[in-house]
Amino acid sequence: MKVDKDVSVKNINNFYFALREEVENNNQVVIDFSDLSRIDSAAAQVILAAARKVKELDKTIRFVGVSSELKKLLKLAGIKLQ
Amino acid sequence: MGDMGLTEVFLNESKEIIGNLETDIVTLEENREDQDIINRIFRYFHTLKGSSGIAGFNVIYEFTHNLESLFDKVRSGDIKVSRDIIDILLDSIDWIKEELFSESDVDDSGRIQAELTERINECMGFTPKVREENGDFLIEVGAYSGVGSSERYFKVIADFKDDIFSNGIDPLMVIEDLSNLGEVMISNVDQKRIPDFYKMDPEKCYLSWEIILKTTYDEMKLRDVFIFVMDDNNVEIENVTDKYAEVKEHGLLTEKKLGEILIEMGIISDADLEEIVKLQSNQNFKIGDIIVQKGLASSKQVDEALQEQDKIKKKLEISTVRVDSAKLDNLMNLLGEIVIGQASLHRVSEDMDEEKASSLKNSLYGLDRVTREFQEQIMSIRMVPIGPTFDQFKRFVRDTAHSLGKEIKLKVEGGDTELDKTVIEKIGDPLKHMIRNAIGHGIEVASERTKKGKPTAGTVTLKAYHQEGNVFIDVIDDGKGINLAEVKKKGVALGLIAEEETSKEKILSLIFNPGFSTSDHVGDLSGRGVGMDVVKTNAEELRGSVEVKSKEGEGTLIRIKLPLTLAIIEGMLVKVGPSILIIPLLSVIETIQVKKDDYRTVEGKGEVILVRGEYISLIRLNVLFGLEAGITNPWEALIVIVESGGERIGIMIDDLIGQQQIVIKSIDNFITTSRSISGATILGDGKVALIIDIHGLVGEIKNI
Repeated sequence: MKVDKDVSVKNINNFYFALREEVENNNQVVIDFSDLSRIDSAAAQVILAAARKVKELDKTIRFVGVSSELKKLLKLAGIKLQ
Repeated sequence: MGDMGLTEVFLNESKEIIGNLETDIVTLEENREDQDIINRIFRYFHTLKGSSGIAGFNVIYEFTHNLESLFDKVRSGDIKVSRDIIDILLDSIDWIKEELFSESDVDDSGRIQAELTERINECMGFTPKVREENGDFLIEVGAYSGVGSSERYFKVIADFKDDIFSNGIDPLMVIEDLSNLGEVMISNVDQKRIPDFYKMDPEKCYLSWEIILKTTYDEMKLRDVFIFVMDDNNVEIENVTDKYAEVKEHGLLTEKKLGEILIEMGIISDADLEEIVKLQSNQNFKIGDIIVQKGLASSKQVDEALQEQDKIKKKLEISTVRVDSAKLDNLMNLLGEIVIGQASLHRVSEDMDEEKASSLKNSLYGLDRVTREFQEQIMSIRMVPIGPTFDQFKRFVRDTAHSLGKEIKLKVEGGDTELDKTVIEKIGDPLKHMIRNAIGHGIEVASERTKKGKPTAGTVTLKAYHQEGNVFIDVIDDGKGINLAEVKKKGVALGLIAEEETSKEKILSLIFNPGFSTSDHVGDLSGRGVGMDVVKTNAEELRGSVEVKSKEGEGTLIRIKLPLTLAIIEGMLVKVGPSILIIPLLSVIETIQVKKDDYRTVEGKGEVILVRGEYISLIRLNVLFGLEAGITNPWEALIVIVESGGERIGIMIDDLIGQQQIVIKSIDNFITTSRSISGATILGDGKVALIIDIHGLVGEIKNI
């Protein structure tokens, strides 16, 4: 799934439910960040929780289109890229 | 720390930040997309805001808050960097400078601020609200400010309340700000509080962090990051520098680190590591071995991780101390005394019987080597790169060029060339003069440049490099060059040179005369005829020299040559009659004896000698300084050939005594105003010897 450019706490529910659907329906979840360079805490923790769930379900999660600035933020948020 | 101290610290820090800001903003104008610079500028405003608030400069605080908001928009890409933005930023910085550092009260300061704020808001398209800052007693009394600024380790625990999002605060951004203060050594995001994915409320915050940050900032700076969240959330900051160092020594850190590195490399997971650590405590194996044994990673991967770990350890070991430069000066002086003491021991050894003397001399040579090395070390501490000095001219060039309607690029080369701190401090003004001249007189307006087939934008190049024990600083412009005929005309009119003078070098060097200017009208920038003589005087004060090269229509180069060190030189001791004088070794080309036939007297030019087919002036030091004469016939004496500024002269001496390190002691002007003397030194036997300034000597001779 492609992450919306303006994802933030203001519209976090849209992102949350979209990602839920993705996790429920796919064995391999791919999150595409190519449209955004920053991410906020709200989106980060949704991804963290999703990643844990994916592992629990024996599925995989992958991140693509991660810019170097975003990489730093994801790392700070405790999101592992592999 | 008193109130005064806090203000001072703030003002000092601000000065530094503002300097950096100016450089970065001007660079940004050229590289508008450079995210690194944008981030840096944002951080500078952020820091300026924080510390102005703490230091009680509320007006600055509010103002920089607006700037920070504006730049946050630039950072996020909402606003594109434009000429307008750059102008606003630079004008704002001018206003801040005026507010902070100007002595006089400017009446319209409030008006300017209001105007700027309006411009900022216009750019942002809305009115930002200014947050009130809480006065915290502990902050006020400076409880968190540190002493000195070496590297420290802080453990930061930040536990955010679950409703923090509703306050418009993004904890991740706060953590990002924190990470920008230094290097995050260890970062743990506590995920335990995050509920099951299906059960979570995405609008609540579940995050908390535990971070080990390596930074040169003090605790106050770190607290500043959390200034808006400190009250409602659990934030703990602990200085763990000691503990961290201890852990390192006991090796605990190394073992823990290996696991972490493997996690970072994506080879093992958090859970794997936990399991391994458990295993390790039971079995007392090395973590690396367990990992390989369990098949989680290949031994090659573990080796790679170990190498990475070594790198980290090395990084940890580099630490710095900030020292008052006066202490370094004292050290240098003391070393000078040691050198004098050594010379005196050498002297003593001469009166001893041969056997004893030779063993003393041997020890002295050993000591000599150590002192030389010692001197080099102290010198290297005093050396600072010239880059920052160059960079600070970016703003100057931009403003000057704009005000003259010219388009000019500043190119900087060799910014990492190191010079003595004192030299750097004294070279700023001369450089400014030269750059101003290059922009004002040198580079033509765009239309004229196009006509000549040059690129519309002129280039001023600042270049620094080392060569033969000297540092050279070049200021080069690709402008119209110096009009030789005009300079000569003026020079002749002022009676400085003869009509028939043809040497290009001599004509060009006229521009260094006080009050010399070919400009007919006095502009705001240059043309008053002062400037180049200041450049020359300053360079000579530093025992350096200036030369100028120019080609009409193509450009001008002004080259400052400076010595690497100021306090100690290699000198050649020479004897003239009963006196001992010192000639700096750097200026000496050779020492010769002349034949009687090669010696001539030329009417109007004094004595000359023929050296390698060329006649050069012969100087008798006893005549020049009014000393008692020794040998009077040049063909019986020794001649030291020295060079300065391309000009050679021969100095007549009775004898060479030797070569040694000379500690320069300055002498006051009431003792001598002669340009031929640069100072004095104390010899081994306690006698004072004068040091000859070759550059000054050549200048003086040529004027006679």
